[in-house]
Amino acid sequence: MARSQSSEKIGKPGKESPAPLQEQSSVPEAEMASRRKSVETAYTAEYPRLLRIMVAQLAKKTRQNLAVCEERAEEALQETFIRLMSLLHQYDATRPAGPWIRSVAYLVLLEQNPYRKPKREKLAGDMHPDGVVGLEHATRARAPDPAEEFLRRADREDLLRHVDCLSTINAEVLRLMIIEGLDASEAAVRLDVTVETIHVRKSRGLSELRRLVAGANDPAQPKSGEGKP
Amino acid sequence: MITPHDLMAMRLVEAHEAGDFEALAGIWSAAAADPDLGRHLTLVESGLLAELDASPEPGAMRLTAADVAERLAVARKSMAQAERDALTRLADCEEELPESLSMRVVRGLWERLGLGATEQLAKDFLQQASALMLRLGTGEQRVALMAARAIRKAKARKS
Repeated sequence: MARSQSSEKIGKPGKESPAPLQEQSSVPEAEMASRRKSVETAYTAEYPRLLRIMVAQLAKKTRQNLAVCEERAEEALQETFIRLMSLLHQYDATRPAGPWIRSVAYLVLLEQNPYRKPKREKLAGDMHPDGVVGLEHATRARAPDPAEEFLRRADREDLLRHVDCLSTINAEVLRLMIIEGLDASEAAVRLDVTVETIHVRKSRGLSELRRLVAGANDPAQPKSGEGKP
Repeated sequence: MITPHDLMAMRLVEAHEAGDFEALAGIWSAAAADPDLGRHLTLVESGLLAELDASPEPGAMRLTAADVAERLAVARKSMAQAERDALTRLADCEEELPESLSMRVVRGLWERLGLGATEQLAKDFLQQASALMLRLGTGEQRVALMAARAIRKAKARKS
């Protein structure tokens, strides 16, 4: 990981943009210019995709009308560009910029919500001294989820037993991939959908499975058939 | 069997659906450090975008006052008599609502239907209509709304 563990203050959340840090970094100016160019190219390429998905996410989250959500997403993406330029010293040019751009963009979106209550104390969600690198710790620091642990360790038989309890179309994808051992492209051919759709359905299937396992492990939850007339 | 990338993809879809920006930032930050994960998640994101693109545009199916009234009747636990009367009038109104809905538009509708002083109901109407309009982008919601309209029409024909 080539990103520097800078101890400089990157900026406080809010409308104020952080001061550019390029001059303070030890990266040569020629290298910074090259990074600036490649991040700008990547940002331009990702913009329509990011705008589309952020508008949809904002709409779901805030239930505001689409025009308002579009305005908020546009504003967040403009601020994202400013942040990216000030964080160039962290950018690892050997890796695709897309995920990095997204992580910054979602942080900006999070910061722009005036009512937000961070889930963790100053660990993530803010442009803290470690910059966005700190978020990797945040992801790892999630409280262990027993249902997710089960999925991680489950063998074919365990999964088969649980997948059979699901009745959605997502379960069919899980059956094909887990039980029959097809890969995503084979499952896509079998179901006549795109590979991307297969990945989404598999993820949703796993999510349902996780909820099912979590429900089964929760003593407060009634067992199947219990509590029903 | 189920890989760590599969589990991250599952979290991505869950965070996307919940609009959990903190989780999304964390997931993509992890992907920035792992190019294989980044590629996997980009594929999943493409699938989510394809779903959005496949959804009918909200303008393609216009919401009616009756659609909103029906949802409002379910959402509201208690109502004053004046509000109940207003809701009954709204439920009979198949007038299409404009794409950009505002309080001014709702007040105009209230005036046309002579719904009187039911300010809170008007506010709830606007909120419910906005939520419905956003959800019209999803195929399931569209089908549900079409079904609800069909049921309303069938009931009207029967009476």
